[in-house]
Amino acid sequence: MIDMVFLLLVFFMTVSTMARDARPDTELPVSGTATVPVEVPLRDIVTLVGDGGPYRIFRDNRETRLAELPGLLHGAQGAVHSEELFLRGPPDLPWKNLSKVLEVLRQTSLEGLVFATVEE
Amino acid sequence: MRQRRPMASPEIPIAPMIDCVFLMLVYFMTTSSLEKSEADLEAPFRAAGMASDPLPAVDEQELVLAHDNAVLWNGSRFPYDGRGFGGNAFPTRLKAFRESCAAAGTEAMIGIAPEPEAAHQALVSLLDTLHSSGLERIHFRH
Repeated sequence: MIDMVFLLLVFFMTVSTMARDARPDTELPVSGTATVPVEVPLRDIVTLVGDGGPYRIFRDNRETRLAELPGLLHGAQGAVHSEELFLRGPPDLPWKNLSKVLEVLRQTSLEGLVFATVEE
Repeated sequence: MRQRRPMASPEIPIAPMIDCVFLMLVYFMTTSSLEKSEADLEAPFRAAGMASDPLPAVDEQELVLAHDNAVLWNGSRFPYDGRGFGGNAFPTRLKAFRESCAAAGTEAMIGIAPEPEAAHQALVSLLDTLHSSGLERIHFRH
């Protein structure tokens, strides 16, 4: 029994560490065709968070303004080139908010865009 | 002659350690949350400076994602039920469009024009339906 308890302890310690991620908490839309990548490529993570008020924009865990976003992306920093952007937003995010971000991203050198979802 | 008494083997008290381990186990069980892995859904995107592929012949259809999340397509309305649009009618019509393009030797293209209040979930469901119907050339109409 003590062996089992130790195993459980290690499991929960590992899981709780992994859950502490460098991205804000938000619900994600459900997708029937999305897949969890085996290897995640180098990419920027942008999150839109509503909280009932105006949408806030985060690059990784840092809040930013829309106008500052292109300058914060990896590609803009020269040394590391990020090919795609992982865009996270809640299921009820209106297109008018999403399209503003896409319009700004179109002015960057990004090659691809991926919506963050959860599998059905 | 005096007999030597056998030395008592030293015992390590493990009861306090087990108490500690149980406490830690309870702590991690209550604080950790098992989160689902986030999945990738390719979204249509083309940067402003990116050259587009030459398309010899394209048949493009525009799908409007309305404020109530229904899809409007050439006068038809496919209401959103939280998972799909209008049951099988919408995927069937998409498939027919793709097949008619293939028969005509043109490439099927879809332009999505969401209205400002259309929800992200409906957009993701629409992309799901298009991908499932074999339509891969998709772009957003701004």
